[in-house]
Order: sequence, then C-alpha cells, then structure tokens
Amino acid sequence: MQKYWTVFQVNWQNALQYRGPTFVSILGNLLHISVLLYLWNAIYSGGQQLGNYKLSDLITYYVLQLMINSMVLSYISWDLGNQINDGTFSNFLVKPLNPLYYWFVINLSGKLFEGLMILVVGGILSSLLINHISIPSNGTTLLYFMLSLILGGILAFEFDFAVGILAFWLVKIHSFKYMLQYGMFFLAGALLPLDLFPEGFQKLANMLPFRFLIYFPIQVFLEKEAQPIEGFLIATVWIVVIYILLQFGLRRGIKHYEAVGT
Amino acid sequence: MRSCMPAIDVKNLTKTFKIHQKETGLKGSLKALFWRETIFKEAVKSASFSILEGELVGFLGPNGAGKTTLLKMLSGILYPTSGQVSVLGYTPWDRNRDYQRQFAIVMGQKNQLWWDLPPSESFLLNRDIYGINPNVFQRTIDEMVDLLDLKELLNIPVRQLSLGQRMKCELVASLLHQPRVLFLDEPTIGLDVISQEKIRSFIQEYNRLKKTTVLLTSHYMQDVEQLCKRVLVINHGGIVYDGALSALSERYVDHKVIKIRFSSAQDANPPSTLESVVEWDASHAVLKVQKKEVARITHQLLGQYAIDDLSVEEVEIEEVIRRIFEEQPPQT
Repeated sequence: MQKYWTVFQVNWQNALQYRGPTFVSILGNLLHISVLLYLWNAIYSGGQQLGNYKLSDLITYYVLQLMINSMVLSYISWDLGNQINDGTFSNFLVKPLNPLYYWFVINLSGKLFEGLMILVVGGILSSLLINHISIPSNGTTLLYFMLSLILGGILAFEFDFAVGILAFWLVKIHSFKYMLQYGMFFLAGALLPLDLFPEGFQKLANMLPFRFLIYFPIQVFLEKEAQPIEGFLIATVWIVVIYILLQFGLRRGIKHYEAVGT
Repeated sequence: MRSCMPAIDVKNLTKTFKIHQKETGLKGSLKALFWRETIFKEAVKSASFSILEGELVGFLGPNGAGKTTLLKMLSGILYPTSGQVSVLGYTPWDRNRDYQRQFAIVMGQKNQLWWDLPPSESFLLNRDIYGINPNVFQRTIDEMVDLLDLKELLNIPVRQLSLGQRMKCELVASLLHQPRVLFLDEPTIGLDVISQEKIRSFIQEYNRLKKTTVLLTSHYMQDVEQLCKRVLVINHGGIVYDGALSALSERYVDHKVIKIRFSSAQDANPPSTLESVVEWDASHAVLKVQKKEVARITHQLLGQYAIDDLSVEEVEIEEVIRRIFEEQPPQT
C-alpha cells in the first residue's frame, strides 16, 4: 500500500535526523557488551568452560546480541504510549490509517536504519575479533539465521506494541514498561544463553515465545539449534496467535479510549 | 438543493464521564487503593442542533463547558452515552473510511505534524494517507500556501516554526483532502493578535470559497464575532442559546446603557431620584436602564441637566456572554 510506503520513507527521514543519538546509543550498547566480553575472557582464562560454549561461542553470542538489539528488538512502545496518553492517538481514529500497521512500518523502517548502522559497527568489531569468533560453516545456516531474525523482529514488535497499548488503561506506562522489558529480554537470553540456566528455568523459557527474539537466532548462527525448522514453525504460530490477541486488545483499548477521552 | 441539506444533525447527545476522586495527600492515596469514590460528570447534556452544509457556526463557552467533548463525538474520537449524530449521513463513531475522507478536525493544542521534519513531509504523508491525486494535491497546496503566505516555511523543520506558523501548517495539513466538514477546536489558542487575525481571515475566506461546513470552538469572543453569523452558546454541557450573535443581547439583556457627557460641572454625587446609576462624577455619567424606561429617563436627563453628548448603547456582547457563563449549573 502506497500510504504505508510513504510512512516508511517519512520515518526514514526522521531517523536520519536522529542518526547522532542512534549512534551514541549503539556505542553505549557496545560498551555494555565489551564489559561482558572482558568478564567472560577473565572467567575462561582460568581454564573452565560453561556448558558447551567455547570462549569463541560466547564472544560471538554477545557480538550478535549487540546487533540483534539494534536490528530486531522494538522500542516503539515509548512513543505509542505517549501518543495514547497525550491524545495524539486520536489521529488514528479520524484518519484512514490503521495504528497496528502504521507502527509496524515505523518500527520496520527504524530497525532497517539502525540495522545499517550496526552492520558497520558490528563489521568493524568482528574484524577485530576475527580470530575469536565462530563463523557458520555453510550458507544454509546464514539463510536460517536471516529468517530467524525476521521472525524475531516481528515477534519483538508485537510484544512491544502490546506493552504500548497498556497506556489505554494505565496513566503512565514507562516504569511498568521497563519492568516488562527487562523480564522479556532476560527470558529472551539477553544476559546469558538460556541453556546455561538451571533446567527448570530452561523449560519455562523454552515454552515461552521470548527466546525467539535473541537466543534462538544466535543458536541458529552457532549451529547449536537442533531443530531450526521446528523453531520457525513455532515462532510463526506465536506470531499469528499474538497478532489475533493484539487486534482484540487494540479494539478493547480503543473502546476504552473512546469512552474516557483524554 | 444540496445547500439545504443538514450536514450535521445532532439529537439529544449526552456524554457522561466517570471520574474517580481521591482525597488529598498520602492517606488519600492509600485509601484510594481500596476504595475510590466515583462521580459522574455530564460533559454534554442532551444537546440537539442541526447545521446546514456550508454554514460557519461557532461554539462559544468557557473552559470545561463541553465544547471539545462535543467536537470529539462529532469526529468519532469519543462515543456518546446516549443520543444520535449524523454527519454527512454517517454516524461518526462507526469510523467509516468514507466519512474519514470527508472531514477533518484541527485541535489547537494537539499536533499531527512531524516535529523534526519540514511540514512538506507531513503534507506528503497526508496525501498518501487520504489517497489524494498528486495534481490535485499540488494545486491545493499552492492555493493554500498563497492564502496563508507560507512559501518560505515549507522546508523548515516544524520545531523551528513559531506557534502561529505551526497552526497555519496544521490547517493546511488538515485541508489537503478538501474535507466537506471541518471541526476547529480552539484554532487560535495561545496565538498573538496578528496571527489570530490571519487564521481568522483564512477560515473565513476558505469557507466562502469552498463552501465547507465549519464548526469552530473558541473562548475568544473575536473569533466568533468575526466569523460566525450563528453561534451555539454552551455552558455546563447544555446548549443555552442557538441563533444569531446579534440577537443574543435582545434575548438575554433587558436593559441598555446610557452614556452622558455634561457640558458643565455637576454635583459629584448622583441625584437620589435616578435609579440604576453605574458611574457618576462631575463631568460624565453612565446609567443602566430598563429598555422600556429608556425614553422616559433620557427625557428626564435632558430636561434636568446641561448635556453635551448623550448616547444609548446596547450592552456589549462580551458582557452578555460573560453573564451567561457566570450562571451556576443547576444543582443535581
């Protein structure tokens, strides 16, 4: 649809205005990752190994996580929540524009923009660490990895949108949003690979869809995922189920919005 | 004839908001966790009116009178507690795509323009949201840029525009799809006198050229006085007057104002025989007189005093409005 393509382009222009701050936030993430890499390096220098992760696997894990943070994870709930709270959301009620598709396109164009920037940073980082990272053995792995990033990106958007529309019922979502996001990212494997946790926790994390955001794509890349195809199918089912729930939640939220005004 | 059809038809429209009350302070906050007192506020009470296509009608009322709530219901942002609305034959809160393509709402305190981009980008976005033909789009832009004198502003980021310039751009963005009905909620709020005047003339000119039905809310008297032949005065949620602005004083005011300039110095105290003296000093006087008494009292004044100048005036419209606004809500 022409209108969503224009939304994409206009948001791209907007992202251009913010390339400075975006770059700074990437540097911040880089710093975070560097500390973790340093830590793991120190731990492994004692000769121990965690699970079936070689040091190079862990380094790769965190470098990929840095890139996934920019390319996959969605951060639109802040703006969406603000729009609902300050009443700007009314634009979606008076214009022929679907809020779910609109924000999807906004997120997509933002992620592609940030993705391009992180590819440069990640590329430099990888070339510095080239002797310390694991590289996929064949092209199929790379293809699977791309597919898992796309599925993860869609799911990440759906979760973030769900957090954003909580603003229909809550006056200030920001503190709540951080809590949910930390929980979500933890269960996605942002801090540690999920298979390094106790078994009970692993089982829980495996049943939940959050692992598809970070853990699953990286496992695919590291060729540690035994059943990638099955994973794709499960992720797709989650995407569809959450999409239906979102449509329902959005309708309920708008009903509430229409009733109370702002 | 198209112009005789009512564009907007509102019947017994009521909107009641549920409000949770909380006692002041920490103790009140704790209490509110378990038990909150709920009160119901009728923002709009059984409002009925109808507006013809091409009319420019003003909603006049103090803050909190229910003007914005009414406009929000007419544009489908809020749904009512009860009552019916038909705008161009549509029920607004059905949010029919065909309806959305035929109306626009501009809120003085909300914006739709992209803050960090020039307004031209937001215009382009609206072009494609509404599916406007590119040629028609360009023509409309040129026309409005001309009317509003915007040429130099189109490529400056919105955040660098003044409030007045931004309002002009908001108007353009909302009019690109040439809506048949336009709702303007406080379009001049916070603007300086010159910007207010420019926005006003634009609205007037636009309504004249395009025959767009315009419904405008404002608490600035001048907006309504200049623009609207017909006003709906709304107070405490109800419509208390619907008609010509000029007829408002006839209906609500039973007196006129007599102003006098004496030709020679007078006693600084008013004579006890005259009632309804508002001001009185050695050189001039102002009296508020019942309409039917005007002739008699004028006669009496002319007989008693040496007068240079005497005028009989209507009470100022602003005072009439103020009086309506000051009326207390009926106790419920």
